[in-house]
Amino acid sequence: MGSWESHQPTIDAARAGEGAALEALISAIWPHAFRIALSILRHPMAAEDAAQEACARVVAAIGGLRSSAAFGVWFYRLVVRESMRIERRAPAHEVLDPNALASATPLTDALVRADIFRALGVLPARQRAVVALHYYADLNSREIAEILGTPEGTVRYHLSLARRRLESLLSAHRPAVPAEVLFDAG
Amino acid sequence: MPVDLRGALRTALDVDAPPLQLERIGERVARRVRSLQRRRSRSMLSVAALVALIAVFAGGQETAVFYPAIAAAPAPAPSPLAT
Repeated sequence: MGSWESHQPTIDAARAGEGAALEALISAIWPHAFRIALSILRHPMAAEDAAQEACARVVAAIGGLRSSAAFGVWFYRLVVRESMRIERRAPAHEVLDPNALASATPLTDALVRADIFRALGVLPARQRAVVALHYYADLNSREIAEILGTPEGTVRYHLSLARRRLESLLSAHRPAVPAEVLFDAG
Repeated sequence: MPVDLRGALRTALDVDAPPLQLERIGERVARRVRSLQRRRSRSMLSVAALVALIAVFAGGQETAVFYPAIAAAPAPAPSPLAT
């Protein structure tokens, strides 16, 4: 997810104003936009709102993007910025309903999901963004720093804090979470 | 045992995204373009206002030379009371 190399021709064409390429690009980025927003906002409707706004910004401004190689960082920045704006306006206080996310998902997975989202909810929004960008989008601290507009050291600090808190919270919730999902075998 | 955060988060976020609604995104783009146009026309108006102010100020500089002459002129005599 961190690499957008396979999408370079589509990004180039979208930058050049080709409608079909832009549509294909939006279809490709949509699930990532939604999931990153979901990890920050923990509410499907708010996440959909943030993802749609980020995609609208991509459509409106991709022509001005300086290079296709910069797309990944730029796109994630739009998603995180929009999610943080929604979070500031109306922070999600309610616990996420895992059944509202994917009805086809088996119940055990839904329970795992609920535990993890509950643990994420303990973190400040900025730390949730760092965690999602690192663990889900596979970005390094330099790229995350660029996205958040903070020094790299600050990102590493937030990541370390978030990791410690999540590890302790998820270890405490061990009975509800299948070991093969959460814990390394060794 | 260490917690596999990456695996846990991947599992948690492995959800189906809602269907992509391109028309909703199109509406947002249109709103954005309209708002940009409004902002641009407002900034053009404020530039026009600034130009007008500069013109007034520049005109004021010329007329400022005129004020001492008025100040130096003798005050008109009070008009007699009509009784």
